[in-house]
Amino acid sequence: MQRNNTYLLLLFLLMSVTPVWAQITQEPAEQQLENLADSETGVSEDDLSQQDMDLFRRHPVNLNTADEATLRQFRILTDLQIHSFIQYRELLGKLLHVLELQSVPGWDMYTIRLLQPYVHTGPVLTAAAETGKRFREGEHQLLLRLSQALETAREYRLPDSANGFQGSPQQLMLRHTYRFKQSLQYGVIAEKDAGESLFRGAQRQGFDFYSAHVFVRKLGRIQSLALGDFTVNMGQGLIHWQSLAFKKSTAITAVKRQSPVLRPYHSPGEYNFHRGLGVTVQNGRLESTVFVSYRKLSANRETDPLNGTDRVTSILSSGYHRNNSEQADRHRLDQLTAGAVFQFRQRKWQLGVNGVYYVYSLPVVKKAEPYNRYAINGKSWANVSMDYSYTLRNFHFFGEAAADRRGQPAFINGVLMGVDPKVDLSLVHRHISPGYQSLYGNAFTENSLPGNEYGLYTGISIRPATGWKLDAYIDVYRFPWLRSGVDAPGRGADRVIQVSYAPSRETLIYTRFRSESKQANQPDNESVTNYLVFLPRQSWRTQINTRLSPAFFWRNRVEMVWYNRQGKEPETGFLGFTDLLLRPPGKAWSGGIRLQYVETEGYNSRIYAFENDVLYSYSIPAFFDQGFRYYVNFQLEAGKRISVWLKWSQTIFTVQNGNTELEEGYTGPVRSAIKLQIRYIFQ
Amino acid sequence: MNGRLLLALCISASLPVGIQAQFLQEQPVPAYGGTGALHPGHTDPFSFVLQPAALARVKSVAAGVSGGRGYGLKEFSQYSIVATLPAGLGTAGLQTAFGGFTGYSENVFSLGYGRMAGEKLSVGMNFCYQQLRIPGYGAAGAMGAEAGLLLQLTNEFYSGIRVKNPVAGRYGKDRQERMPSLYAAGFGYAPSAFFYVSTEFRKTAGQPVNIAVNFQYRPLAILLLRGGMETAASVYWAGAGFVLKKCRLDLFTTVHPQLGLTPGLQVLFHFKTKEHATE
Repeated sequence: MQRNNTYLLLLFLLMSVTPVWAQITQEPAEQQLENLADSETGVSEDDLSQQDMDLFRRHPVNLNTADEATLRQFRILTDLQIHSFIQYRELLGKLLHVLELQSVPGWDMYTIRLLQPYVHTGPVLTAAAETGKRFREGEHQLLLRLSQALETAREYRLPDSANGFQGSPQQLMLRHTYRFKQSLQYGVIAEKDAGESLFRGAQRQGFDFYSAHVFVRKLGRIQSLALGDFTVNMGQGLIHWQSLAFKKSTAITAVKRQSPVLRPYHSPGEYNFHRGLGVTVQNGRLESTVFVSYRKLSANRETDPLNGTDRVTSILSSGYHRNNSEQADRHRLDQLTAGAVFQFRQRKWQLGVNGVYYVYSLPVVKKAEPYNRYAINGKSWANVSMDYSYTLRNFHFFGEAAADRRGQPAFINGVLMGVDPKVDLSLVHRHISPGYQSLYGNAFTENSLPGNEYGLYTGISIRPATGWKLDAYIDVYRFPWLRSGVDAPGRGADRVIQVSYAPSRETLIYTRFRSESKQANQPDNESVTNYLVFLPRQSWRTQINTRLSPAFFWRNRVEMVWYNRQGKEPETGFLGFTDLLLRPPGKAWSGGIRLQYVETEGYNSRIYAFENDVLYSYSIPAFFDQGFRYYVNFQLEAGKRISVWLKWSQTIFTVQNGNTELEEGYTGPVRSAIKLQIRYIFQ
Repeated sequence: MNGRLLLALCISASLPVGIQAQFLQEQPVPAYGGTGALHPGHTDPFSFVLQPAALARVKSVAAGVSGGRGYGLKEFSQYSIVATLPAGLGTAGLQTAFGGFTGYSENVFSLGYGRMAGEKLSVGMNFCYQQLRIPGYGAAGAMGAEAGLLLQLTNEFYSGIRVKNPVAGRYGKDRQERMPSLYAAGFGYAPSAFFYVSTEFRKTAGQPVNIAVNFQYRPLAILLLRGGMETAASVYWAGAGFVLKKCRLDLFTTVHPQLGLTPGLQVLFHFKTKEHATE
């Protein structure tokens, strides 16, 4: 009877509530990726999230069986919403329809519309019932991706020079994946970057990079079993976080790191993963994870002139091995890693203890610069931490306290608050000592790695009226020690406000103002001693997303940037683009075009813009100088098994300030690129 | 050349809205005429000068004449004739404009066409030929093109973009000087048939971003009030139109903080109205 009442309530809600704020776009994720590209962190090559979302789209997750770990993989829900949903399901039983999620406290239509393509409600099947299907009923996927810049960079014209590329200009990736839902996956990758050789030269064994993995979930007490390549995520990222993680954005409740500890690694990035064995075992409310990994890393290796011993001055993460110099650094350092995570979970709280230990084949000795005073040195390193989360009514607290091998402390604490059905707040405080170091940390900080930072982030999201939304945050921070290129302790602040308006289900308009001011060395300083100045950077963006018809989607953006060089010539930037996406219902093909104009007065006023790309891939180039750009995307579903993607892009510079040549090694006013991807699915 | 003209030339050469030797491109006179370009309920035959997609919603055979004396100087006089003609599924537009004096002059001839592309989208193209003439140095001409889109977001809300000369239209034999590229995007909002407001971000290559804001108000059936401003040079304009059956007479002026007033006159005749096949 209670279920019937719920169903009646649901029907009433569906009839009476106009679905507002329901423009289905990937806008929040795109903004987060653009912000990552704009930060020092850069964008990860880990495309597992895209692989997951594609799988969820083609094989939606059953909300009646989804656990917390699976719900976190969507990257749409906050922990507060996940806890609310689990409690709702435990109280009222399985859901009858996805839109019943409107009844879950803390869930709104915007979130539900984002989630809807990836979930369904169905009968509950036991894990045992699925065990036999793992190897029989999964899906094999073969993927070939080929891309190339059509103009020849100077490095290709002089292959025998010190920086000359010895390989071909094509970037090539081959990937095989087998997946059965979330239960089992395995696969291999072979990849070469543009400029790297293939079956010759330094890469006589074939491709520059190979990766393989087997990953099993829900095997009795074994929650996850990873063999081969995998990523490890601990706590709030203070000591270790290898999966894709976002930093500041207008998704103000997305400030908490949330991911299963072990995740499969199946991406072309060559640095941010482990290679070995990892296992997560569930024993009642205790979940224990241990892993061990052995890898060869690329590193700058040199001989100490005093004692003649070898040492490493920096570990290289780019994955490029195109010229003699890069090839000489390839696989020069052995890294042995072992770690463990113990998590105790109750319904409303969880507590975790994390540790990771690294041993290198050679000592790491960073360059003797003042900003490297606290840098990692030696042949081994270790980090330990404790993390927690606690849900109290409409408050969700979380945090982590960590220390490194030298005992240097780091703390990060936050709270998500659903203070009103129309208002969400978030707050994150971090206190990370200047001496704290981690090798694979990725916390919610201004710096790319957690360290040398004190700061406070406060965010608010208000939905004042139908269709309207206001998101804003302020982040103030300081760096108690020097940083690379900053010769004194400094500070800064980041302020963003975004107003969004959805006049209908098909249209979303938003305007965003961002102001960032961070201290750095005075540009072009001619005095003997460097001194710090604030370098304010403001940007104002206005964007419209609208569905013109069931087949056409239109997007238009205008963005302006002002960069103040404090006494030197200030820079301004402008970027405007128009997208037209075409997806005729019932047709096997779809496509899109973009026309863009950009004009900046220098590299500091560059503007990043997310570009649609082939499946599992995204492109967020930095645009600078002056010129037009266009690209064309095309996708064809050739039957149920074969899909083809094609992207053609071209930039035509009308003014070049030298930045483009310096950055890319190209001359001439035109840059053209083509990308082709073919996927074959079979069982 | 008197001192005031010299001052005007010097300042206009540094203005974001005055591309040195091409003052017909983005001057205040067409800015007034194009006020209603971003909402079809307030579009008139002059609108396509600023947004070629506006032609798609113009349903009448119409012609208009406008003229203005730039900053009160006869050397900066501008004259323009426009005509619209429903043709096929859309509407064609013609414009010819002249500006200058015996020592320097510009002529522009434009041909545009706009049509609906579905219920919510209208598209338009405008091709122009511009000629510069300086006695003693001869004449140089260049071809330019502009494409525009006008999109209905709601009944009240429209958005438009336009791109002008993305590929260089270069003048003369030496081809050193080129027509400026322009990317512009904006909104038009009209809560009723009586009131309209719009804003447009305009980025001309090599110039600061120019934000234009316009409004139009029709308090009486026979009276139309218009006003607006552009941020790049702090130019304001205001005017009034008097409607008499199929004729409208507009008197307007622009105000430049250094160069002063540009008085102007615009006359518009609607000869015949045709319903589009798509509507």
